[in-house]
Amino acid sequence: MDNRKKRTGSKFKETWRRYCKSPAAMIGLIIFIIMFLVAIFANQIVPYSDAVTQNAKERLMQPSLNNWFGTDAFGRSIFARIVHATPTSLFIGISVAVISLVIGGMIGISSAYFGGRYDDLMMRFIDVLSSIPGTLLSMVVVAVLGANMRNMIIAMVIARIRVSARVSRSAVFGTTSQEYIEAAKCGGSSDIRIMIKHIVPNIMGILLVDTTMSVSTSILQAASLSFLGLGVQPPTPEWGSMLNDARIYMRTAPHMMFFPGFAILLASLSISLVGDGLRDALDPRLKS
Amino acid sequence: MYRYIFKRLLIMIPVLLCVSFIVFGLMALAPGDPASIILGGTAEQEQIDKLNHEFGYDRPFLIRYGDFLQNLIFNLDFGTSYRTRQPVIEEIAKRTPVSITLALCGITCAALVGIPIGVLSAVKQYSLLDTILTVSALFLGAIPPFWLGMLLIYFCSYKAGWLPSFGIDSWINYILPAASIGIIYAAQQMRYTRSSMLETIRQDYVRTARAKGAAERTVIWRHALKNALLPTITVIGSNFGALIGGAIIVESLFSIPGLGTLTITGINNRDVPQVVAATLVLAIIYCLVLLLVDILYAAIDPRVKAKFTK
Repeated sequence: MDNRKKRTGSKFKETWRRYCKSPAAMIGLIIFIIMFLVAIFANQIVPYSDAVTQNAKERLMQPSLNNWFGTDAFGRSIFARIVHATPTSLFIGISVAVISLVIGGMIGISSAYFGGRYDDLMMRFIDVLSSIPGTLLSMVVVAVLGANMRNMIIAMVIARIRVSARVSRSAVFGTTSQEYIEAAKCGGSSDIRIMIKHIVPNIMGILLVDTTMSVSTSILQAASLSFLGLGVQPPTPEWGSMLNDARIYMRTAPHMMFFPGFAILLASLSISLVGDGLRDALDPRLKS
Repeated sequence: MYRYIFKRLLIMIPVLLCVSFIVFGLMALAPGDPASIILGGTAEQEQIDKLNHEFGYDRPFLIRYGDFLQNLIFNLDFGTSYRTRQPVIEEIAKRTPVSITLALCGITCAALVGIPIGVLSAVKQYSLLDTILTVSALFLGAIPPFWLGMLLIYFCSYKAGWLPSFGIDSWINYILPAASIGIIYAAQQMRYTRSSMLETIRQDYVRTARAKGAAERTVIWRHALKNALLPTITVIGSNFGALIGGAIIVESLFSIPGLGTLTITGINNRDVPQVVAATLVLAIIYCLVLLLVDILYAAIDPRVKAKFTK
């Protein structure tokens, strides 16, 4: 037991050492940590009231020293709105990625493990989900449940499950025929125990990389849905809906669209850099 | 091979049935009914009920679904739109070519830019050029498509006045929307091509080609690229399938009358026949494209072909 602990500890260190070697991955991690801190200390950086209080006198102001990123059509500070949208976007991105990983992972791992009829049935189900365009599926689900943040997360998870199910299924395929699985079966371990104790740790790397990437795409997706007015409802600030607000004022107040878009870009870029770095660090063979 | 294609086409039938059932069911669960949306908030309940009865919307969900299926299978009729009272297939037939054109333009643009740059980047691995190209691909891949669309509209249309920002009057109108899709997918395809090319140029047959004295250009573009393109083709295929329905946001941003915008209005108006028909058409196109990719795969790769003819 002690020995194993030591080994996993050194594996983590080894991975971290390799991770640090890539400058792109480090830049991604630093940006992500900064965004995370902004999300946690949003209220200390700028009060929430600045992000939602309307001020008719100061509408559509250009960026200045008082309002770093300018103001929107209701005179709200765009800087404050972007800061206070950060926790929302990160929360949506991470929760969609994690929930769909858990559900999709269960479907994918169990179908690869049991195979046969069950696998066929599950994969047909995933095929059905795949042939409906993701955005469209999310839109219909939001139409059913009503437009708010929780329902948008549910809708995005439903559209995302197929991806994580496919990824985890193909990751498990190589492991089921390995001898240690056979040994665990002979030892009398139950199927569930084998899946959780033996298979999941083996594909953890792939799942971790996929989840990181999925956080990045989920942030983009959430912004797109909010852009269509289906996600976070006003006056709560959200990057995608800020861009939607900016659409009408594109000619007169282009600053309204520059900053929120840049925030989405930074979030999605930093997380995908981290994902790339993780993949290279976890499996150096893939790199060259 | 033909048996395989036939089998794949047969599998499509249950998939499409499930798709129609899921969408039909979800739309039935959605709050609100078509008549009250069409007639507006001031309408009397009596009028609303009368119109819903006319649509057959007051019947139970399963009966409506059964009716829809019967109509579809025996009369090849997708039904009549609640909003326009026209057969839904007419509107879809008008819009499908638009969506396909947009997706084709976007994907072609992505492939023409992404593949050569990916090859170049792989051949010059670890050079300054490679770093610049990889970093810019990372940047472009993380841009939200609708934001890129807005930036393109702002700079190319409002500021410079070069290109129109909406409509589909001529091919010029397709440039900006196709670019906002294409640039992002180009970044993705560049990354795929690069990594698959890096794997290929280390293979023995590439070394053999060099050893027998083939020019470097022939080695890269003829011997290596042909093999490296296989995974890229799959990516292009599934991108294309996803794009036809997935360009919803770009369609709405550039006011393009495609299937995506049709579905949005359909969902908002609870126009069930419209939404179900549009989704079905999208699903059919998606399945057909995936099939086409597999056939193409067999046509290009003799190893895959050998599997089918066995």
